[in-house]
Amino acid sequence: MENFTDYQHSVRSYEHLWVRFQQGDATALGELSKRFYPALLNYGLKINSDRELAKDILQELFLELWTRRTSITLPDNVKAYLFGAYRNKLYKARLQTHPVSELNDLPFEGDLAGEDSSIESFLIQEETRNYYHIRLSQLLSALPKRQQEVIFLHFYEGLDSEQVTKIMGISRQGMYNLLSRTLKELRKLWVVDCTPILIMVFSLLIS
Amino acid sequence: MKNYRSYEVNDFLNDDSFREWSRSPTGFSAGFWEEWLILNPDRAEIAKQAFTFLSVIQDKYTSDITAQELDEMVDRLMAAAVIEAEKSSRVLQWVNQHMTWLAAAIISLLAGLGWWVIQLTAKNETDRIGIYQRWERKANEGSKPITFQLSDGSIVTLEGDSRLWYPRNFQHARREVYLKGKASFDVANNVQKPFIVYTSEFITQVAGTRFRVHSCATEGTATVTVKSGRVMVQPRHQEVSPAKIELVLTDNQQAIYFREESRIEKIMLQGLRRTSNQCKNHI
Repeated sequence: MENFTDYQHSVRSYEHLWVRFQQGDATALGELSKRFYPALLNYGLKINSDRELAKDILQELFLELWTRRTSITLPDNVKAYLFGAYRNKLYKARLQTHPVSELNDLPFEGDLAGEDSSIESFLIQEETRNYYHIRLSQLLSALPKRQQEVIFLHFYEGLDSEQVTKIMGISRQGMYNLLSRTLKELRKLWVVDCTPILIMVFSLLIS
Repeated sequence: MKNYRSYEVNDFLNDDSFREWSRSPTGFSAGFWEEWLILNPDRAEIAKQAFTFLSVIQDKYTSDITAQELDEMVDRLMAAAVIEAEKSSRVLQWVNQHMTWLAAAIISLLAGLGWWVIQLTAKNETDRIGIYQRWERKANEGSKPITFQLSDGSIVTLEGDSRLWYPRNFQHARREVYLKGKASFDVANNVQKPFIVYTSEFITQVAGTRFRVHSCATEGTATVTVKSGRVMVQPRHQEVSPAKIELVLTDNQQAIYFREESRIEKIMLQGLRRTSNQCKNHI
């Protein structure tokens, strides 16, 4: 899991790592992959549920960077650069096997692992979490793929809006519209049906 | 100090300290935020909504990737990267050695050479990047060896407590597999596509032959033993510098790698040498 403060502190050390990587230091490649594989693969699996394919493409990406290392310049933000490059490769690979028209119909969470609606799993979730969490989680799942992707990159991965627009190839205005529409819809739903539970849960959390 | 009293849900969602708290509710930001909520009861509702939103996001998108999966990926990447470095430095060496000739060729055959280079790069691209080789993993967790065939017809006997990664179809110019543990190979003959076994100590290359590789992290030595044919063995971890040491093994010869000394040695096998079929659990 990404820790935002750690992330900020280590931005400089990524630059060092990148420079060593470009000079052909294989241990720097190892460190880069150890550092970024967890977050990248997690993202890749949300876009493409074919686990082995997502892994292979990630390997290909790093191997390509390694073979072309001398011709790549230091990116402004190593993490955002890697996310964008990985996303492109994943979509290209998709295009080889799927017609373009299907791309937007794909769910963001891959095979919808989080949407398991069997009674049993619902009860388990009910015990460990609570009604409000499940409701909100369902609302998020119902959002269009691209809105979910923005939420994931911004709120889960801690990438700022400029980086998100670069990764997803959309305009700044486009992203703000997407995000404010999403939050507006979510807030409307909260107030109507979840507020009392929310307060209860919250006071439990801080007590 | 930021004026959190004027914050709306959006502002909290984008605040580093607040986000940090939602990620680890008992972490170092916790004290501040718990106190703030008590002192600002009229604004608490707004903050609560933001907090819950962030914790749902955390739960929802959390990763299900195992440490073992990641280790395997990094291992495979590192093995592949060493090969790449080796390949490219061979090209550079070649260019250095043939500098004069190359200069003449560039002047006289510029057009032709350009075309050739384009063809060559185009070919390499499709060879390496264009096709995604699908990788398979065979793990033998038990104690009895298992025998199976690869897509090129080569036969592998995988001993207990060992794992092999191999492409479903060998689409690249070389037949490359990665081994952890012990295995014997009976490699289908194909001079065009050398068969290469990577372990953490050796790179073993053959065209077609029978040999056996032992590479257990728990043991002090790793070995490659040839039953028949001709096998080339290089130690790994020469990192970027091209491999200088290269042993050629033929019938009944063995390469031994001594971990502690990082030394590699070739010996002749006299009579039958018995080695355990499984990795030892302890050193």
